[in-house]
Amino acid sequence: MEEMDIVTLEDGKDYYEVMRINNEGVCYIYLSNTSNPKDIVIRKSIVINGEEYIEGLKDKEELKKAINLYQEKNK
Amino acid sequence: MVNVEKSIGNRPIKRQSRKEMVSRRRKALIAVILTGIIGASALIIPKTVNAVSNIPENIETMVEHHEFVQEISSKAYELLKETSYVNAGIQGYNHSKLAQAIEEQGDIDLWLYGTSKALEYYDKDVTYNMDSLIFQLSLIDEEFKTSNITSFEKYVNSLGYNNIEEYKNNQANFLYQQYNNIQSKGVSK
Repeated sequence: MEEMDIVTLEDGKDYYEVMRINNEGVCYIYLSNTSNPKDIVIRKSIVINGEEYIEGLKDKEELKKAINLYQEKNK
Repeated sequence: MVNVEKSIGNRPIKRQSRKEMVSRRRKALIAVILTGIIGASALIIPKTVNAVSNIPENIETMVEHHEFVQEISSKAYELLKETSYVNAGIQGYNHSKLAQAIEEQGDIDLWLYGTSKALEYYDKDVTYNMDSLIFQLSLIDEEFKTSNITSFEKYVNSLGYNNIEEYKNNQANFLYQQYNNIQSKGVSK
């Protein structure tokens, strides 16, 4: 058995935190719905006043970048 | 596919998390599925997003178009599934898990990506054929996106086919050739 972090998004659904990738000062988080592993969400982590927040990516270009980063890391 | 709506533009929310114990197998499976879907999204997402934003007035045509691509993908799935599993088995542990994930999820995007990854390790000629297949599918999206044609029938005509049925048959023949190539080279090795 292994430990996995589960986060809850604004839709009330739980997601496994499968991976984090840091790139140019941005930490991307790759999430997989706990009840439907085909529901994949990519977000980024930001820290405000010492507390961690999860926010959406800026646009499709950033999404493309996050996808490419994941592929590079998992070649 | 990566969920675009849930990934882009959401306001920051405080990270609320808890820890859960999962089996190593389940953890590996989650990672494999995620890798497969992200791989498929890398092929599809930019085109889909652009296509939707470029021709929002042609929603019905887009739906028809995507139904067609899905149908072709389904044919590809039926024609090549067996070879995919055989190759996955040959490739060993990781790809066996991938094949299992595909079996459990029944996801065509995942299957296409998984098959191409499995074949990368197997035979460059076969990989080329598989790449051609994936390229062909993505090309349909790309061509349609840039065509500015509002009728799918006209779009098919513009490619030199008399009607949609003729176009479908051509695509099916292409897929069948890929199947034969992979079957003869992949399995016998």
